[in-house]
Amino acid sequence: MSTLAFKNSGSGSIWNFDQSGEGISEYAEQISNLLKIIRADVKEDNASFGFSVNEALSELNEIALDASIDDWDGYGAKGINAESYLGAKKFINRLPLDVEIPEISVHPDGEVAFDWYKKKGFMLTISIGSDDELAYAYRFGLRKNYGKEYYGDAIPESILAKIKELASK
Amino acid sequence: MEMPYLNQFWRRLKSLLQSNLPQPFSSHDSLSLFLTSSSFHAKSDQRVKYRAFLPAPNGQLSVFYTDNNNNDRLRNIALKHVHSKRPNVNIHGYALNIVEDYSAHKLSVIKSEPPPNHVNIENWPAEKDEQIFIAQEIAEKAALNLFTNRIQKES
Repeated sequence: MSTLAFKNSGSGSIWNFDQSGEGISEYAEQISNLLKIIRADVKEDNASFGFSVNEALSELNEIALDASIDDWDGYGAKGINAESYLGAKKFINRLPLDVEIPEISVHPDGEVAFDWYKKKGFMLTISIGSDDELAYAYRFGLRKNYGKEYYGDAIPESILAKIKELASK
Repeated sequence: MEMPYLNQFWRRLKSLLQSNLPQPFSSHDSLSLFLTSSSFHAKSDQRVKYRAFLPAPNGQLSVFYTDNNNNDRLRNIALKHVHSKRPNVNIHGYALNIVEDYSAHKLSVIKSEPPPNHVNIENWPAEKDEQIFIAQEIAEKAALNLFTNRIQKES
């Protein structure tokens, strides 16, 4: 975590600055710097215990490059599906920042998938299909199931609930 | 005069006669899936990941009947029959399952020689969510076996 340091404003707080005009730009600059530091800290924290959008997007791009041509696995897998790739980007951008970072992969049919694995017998996979279709399958101990959901502007609540339930196990 | 169909028939008949594969398979016969990507297993907790078991776009999953085989013999099978055909991938080891792990999900275990002892897992459901679910179930029952030295892809 970065350390915040402020100039002493004379009244003990940066918010109680002189309203006379002189010094306002100096304090505005301090606030701007403060925001930069907070943003950097939030990013740092995400990387350590939650979800980092930038990290996930760069992993997606790396994986997409590896699977960009047909037969990337030697068993006739299809190259990454462009619609699924775009859907995956959207999915990453809409995941709440407090969820665990998923493992990203490309399936033999070219679809991008997100995997959360907690421990033996506890896992969740979401595959991003064409036309905003999500195919999922999970095992939470003895409870297991699979199904499909559609998502437009937001990730369906039922999917978010499963991601959070797995994290709590 | 060329007789491709006759040649093909003769090859199939020969492989049928020379095959060591049991007919039918017993539910406890061993089947090995060669792991052609490092993303198919997790070394840290010694597990095979479900994605190794997803069928190829042709609807088949390629495995080998490997009863009574040790690591060295399996490495030789991988070299001779997998690496020779797919030199563009590394082979890290294999996932060991039994026939029942597949047949329990109504998948068909179909002999598909040559190469010798090659088997296809077929009859996968068409729906993606169900495929993932079945692959997760099979992965949970798989035993991971890594080669001491992986078979390197040709650059």
